[in-house]
Amino acid sequence: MNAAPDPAVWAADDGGDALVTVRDLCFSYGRGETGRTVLDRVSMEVRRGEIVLLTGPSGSGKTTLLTIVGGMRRFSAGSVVVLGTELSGAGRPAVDALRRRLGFVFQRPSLLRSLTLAENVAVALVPEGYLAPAESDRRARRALADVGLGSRADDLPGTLSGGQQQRVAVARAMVRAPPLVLADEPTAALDGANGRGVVSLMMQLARSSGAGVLLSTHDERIFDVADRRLHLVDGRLEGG
Amino acid sequence: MRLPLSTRLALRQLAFLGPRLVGPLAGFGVAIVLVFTQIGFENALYASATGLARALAADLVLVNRNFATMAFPQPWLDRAILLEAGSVTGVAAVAPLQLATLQVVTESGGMASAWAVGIDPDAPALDIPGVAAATARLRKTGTAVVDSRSREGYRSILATLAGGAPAAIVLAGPNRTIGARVDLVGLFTLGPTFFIDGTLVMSDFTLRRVFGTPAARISLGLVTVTPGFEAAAVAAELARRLGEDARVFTKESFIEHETRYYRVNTPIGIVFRIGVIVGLVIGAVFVGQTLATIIEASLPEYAVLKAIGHADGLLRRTVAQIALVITVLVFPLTVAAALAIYALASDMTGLDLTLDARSLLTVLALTLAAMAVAVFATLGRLRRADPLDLFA
Repeated sequence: MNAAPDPAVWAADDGGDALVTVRDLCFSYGRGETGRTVLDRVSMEVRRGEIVLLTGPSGSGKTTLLTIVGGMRRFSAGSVVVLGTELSGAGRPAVDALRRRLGFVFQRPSLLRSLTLAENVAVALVPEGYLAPAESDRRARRALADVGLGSRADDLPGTLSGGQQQRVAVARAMVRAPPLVLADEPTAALDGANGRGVVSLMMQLARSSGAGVLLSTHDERIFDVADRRLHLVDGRLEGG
Repeated sequence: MRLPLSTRLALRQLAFLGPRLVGPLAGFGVAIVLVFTQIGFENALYASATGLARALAADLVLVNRNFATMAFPQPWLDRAILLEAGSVTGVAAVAPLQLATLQVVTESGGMASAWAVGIDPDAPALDIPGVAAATARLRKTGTAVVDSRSREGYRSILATLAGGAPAAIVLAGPNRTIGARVDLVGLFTLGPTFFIDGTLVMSDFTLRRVFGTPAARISLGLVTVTPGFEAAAVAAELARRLGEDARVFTKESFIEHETRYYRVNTPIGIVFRIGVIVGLVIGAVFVGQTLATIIEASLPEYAVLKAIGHADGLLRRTVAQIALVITVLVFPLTVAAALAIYALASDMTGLDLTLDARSLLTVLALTLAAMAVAVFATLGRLRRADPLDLFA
């Protein structure tokens, strides 16, 4: 696309540190008169160690942008490069490989109910395929300790509160030391204190590991944790 | 050694969802027991139908060219054929065998079916210890020995004989006009068939007298091959010499011929096989239902695994292993249930329902095939595990 970037978009000075580079991204549901534009020439970047919030009203395109960056949705126009992988036209193996390098935190913890907490965290290590089981278990337990749940490593998720389960999800996202964490409304299912606690924990772990974070939210109580905030309205970025 | 993730997931999900799966798993188990029962009864049919054939003291069997089966009245063979067969090189001995089906009058006045076997007391025709021991007594006209495993109608007679007291039985033809009385002088062990309640062995003279059969007619010709000669080679020579007058079987091929008669020429084998197919279909449906329940309950979890980079193969392997674990858990229980049913049915029918290795492996293979079908049919549901559903 040769269209000029949206002037409201934050642009990194040094593209070499960019974990995510989005240029003129367009995404629509449907076509023609019945089609609905969700993202309209969006351009943005997330740099190494940077914590970026995506905010905006419901339906503004936050989650859609996040899923595109996570390689879960194909887009119609523009360029999205994540950790050096151009997602436009990327095949399933390349997308799977990219996802294995990302950390994900969802609105709900989505833990595997039949596995222990340690095993839930370790499933994020298995796709990499090179860790010995003992090392995988050790890392999982350490990640749980980092989120304050080391003593519950052998418990099942059903024995935990919602806030605790979301902390396990954070441990699962961080255990493989991803350069980039994508988080979608991670506080939406939690009360204020728990939500704030989970996000603070995630930011603390990200900063200590140097990971970048792209987090979508409409929870104003956590706006202050970010380095930058990108505001989406009707599929367009309005400010930073 | 730590199990692969797919295996651990399969085991944990089964354990976690266990209580919800009891119903469909029980249905699957019942379906496999149905398969065992069908195969058990089919095997019992063939085994009982060929019991007498297997007891023939012969290497080769001669029958009329139009012979179909031992079970029903056979076209007669000319006794003179035995003389010609005896002259063939490699033939050590020949013996006649007479067969007839009839009914006997039980003590209660009811009727029971019977197989009457006539042997030449001077030419051993049956390899049954009880018969061999009673050969001298059978020389007396109007005597017979009776199968100790004969069914209900024979019970009081068998009890009398077992107690050492003399017993007799009244034979009746199709019109109950014969009314011959035969003294029973001993017991032997053979077993009933699906159609025949009991077997009587008597001299061929006694049988001819009862039925008025001409002496020149026999049912089967039994040939013993001289040691050192190949049965198949002697059979070929006999077939050449006897031409259209007789058909020659080795004992093994004769047994196979009898089995084939039921398997192919009657609807019985087909009925049992339909029962097996129905059981497998029901089993596959129940397993499919079990797998579908597990998959539906696990879609968000599977979506997470996809989202964090696990390939679809992990989920397919997990579902396949769940099916395998179900088989490993349920199959031994179905074997135990089948053995119990076999024992009960054997007791009630007198038939030999046994679970041999071949049948066991056959049912296991069929079960795994049903599993594979169920897995294949349910894998499509995994596509519904969509990481996008995890996002708000």
